[in-house]
Amino acid sequence: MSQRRVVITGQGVVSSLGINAKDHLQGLQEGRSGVSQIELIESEGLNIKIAAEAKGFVGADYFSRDEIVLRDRVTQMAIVAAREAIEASGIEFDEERALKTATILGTSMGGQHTQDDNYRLVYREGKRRVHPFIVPRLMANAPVSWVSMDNGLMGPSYSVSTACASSNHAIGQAMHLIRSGGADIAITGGTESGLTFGVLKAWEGMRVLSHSNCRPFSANRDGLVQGEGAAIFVLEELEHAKARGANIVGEIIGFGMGADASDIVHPSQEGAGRAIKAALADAKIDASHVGHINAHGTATALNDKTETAAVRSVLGAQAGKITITSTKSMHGHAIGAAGALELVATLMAVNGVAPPTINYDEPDPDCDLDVVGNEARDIDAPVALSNSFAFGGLNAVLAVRRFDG
Amino acid sequence: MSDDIALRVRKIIADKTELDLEKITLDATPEALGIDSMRMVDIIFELEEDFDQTIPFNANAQDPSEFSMSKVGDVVDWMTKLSEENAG
Repeated sequence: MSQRRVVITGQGVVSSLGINAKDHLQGLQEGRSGVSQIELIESEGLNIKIAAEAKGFVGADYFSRDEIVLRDRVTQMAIVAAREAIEASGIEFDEERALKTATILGTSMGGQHTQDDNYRLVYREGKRRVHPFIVPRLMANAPVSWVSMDNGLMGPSYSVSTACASSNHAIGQAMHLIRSGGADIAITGGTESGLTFGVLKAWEGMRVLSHSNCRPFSANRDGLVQGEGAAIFVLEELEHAKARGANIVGEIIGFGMGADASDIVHPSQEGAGRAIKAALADAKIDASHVGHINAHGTATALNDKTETAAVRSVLGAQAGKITITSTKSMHGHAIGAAGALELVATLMAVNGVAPPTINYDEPDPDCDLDVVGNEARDIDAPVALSNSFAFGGLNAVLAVRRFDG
Repeated sequence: MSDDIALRVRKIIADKTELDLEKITLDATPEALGIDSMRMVDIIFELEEDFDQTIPFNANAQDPSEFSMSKVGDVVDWMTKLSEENAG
């Protein structure tokens, strides 16, 4: 029996570029920057004043006061993006289908606004009691639980936390679960809303944030810019999708993962290369099939150089023929949601338009791949990879193919 | 260059590297003292706490106006400059 294939039939997005997939995609196409002055929290006392906040996203537009009491912003974003993805896919869940639907979401940090707000109350303001719903609001599995409840989904459900690779691990495992027969459908992707005083302070401490902007692969890059958002997908087994006449936006053909086993923050060329190789092997393709890469591309000095070297080492001569882009330049580094937002960009690329890497000011000889700089480019790349390389050396790479029927 | 400041800087580096104070000479390089980038940000944090100063340092920066340390003496110069600029 041939292997079950897994396709994407719907997507939903909340990001600094837009609060639905259409606006987000338009932002990617235009090369719009979602990075601006921090406004959603009090930035007094922060040294870094910029981030990619989803400024258009206001929970009260979607949820009642009683609902918000139980849902952190990270959960609100996931629910809204999941509703959009499910509506776009046209799928409806009866009990039989709901039992065969997995819900697997990536998030690095869970309900950070809840944690930050309440630490402030007890530590700074000296409050002696806190609200009873803090635990269910801040737990890292709250988003996945609420998405399952919101849609009555009863299949395998869990959250994945692997820092910047959370989404790719979630999506990759969802794909493998459908491929293996453990589910027919999966609601998967990632969500993150960690633009709080405490989290930003911690990142400032690491000295890896840029004060000015996110410039992946550019010689003058000086660090990453934090972002927030959610991107959620409906994954389906191919015959299941065809049988209901679904609109198929792309196919996930492979997933590779592994660990550097070397350093808690420094990336490893070998580790990244092994994950790319594993994704190719899982997809049963070789380097010559790859036409485009959506890079991890954080705009730190080290990541972009190491990632370039890893791509060159695995793709060999093909590395000279591919295009590469980092959309973090536009939507910032959404940490646990990064891979999901970047799958949206990867699907866009296999379907004909490579989104740009904006703020690409000066080529860097250490990042000498064909960077799609500043403006979107029409490309014909039926197969693309999407890289995520997490702090802690945990790597996850998705291989995506255009769906031609 | 203040001897006091030099001693404070050298003591902090000695503590973080677990090396004898005599080894922390003003012309010693980070490489010679086994200071990698993680140790560097850790030392900078201790310097900021000890001197109550903010040191402009970004691990990614190639901007020469920002803090750099090619030898221990550079750090002493920086701390001296910051202490004078922000005194009283």
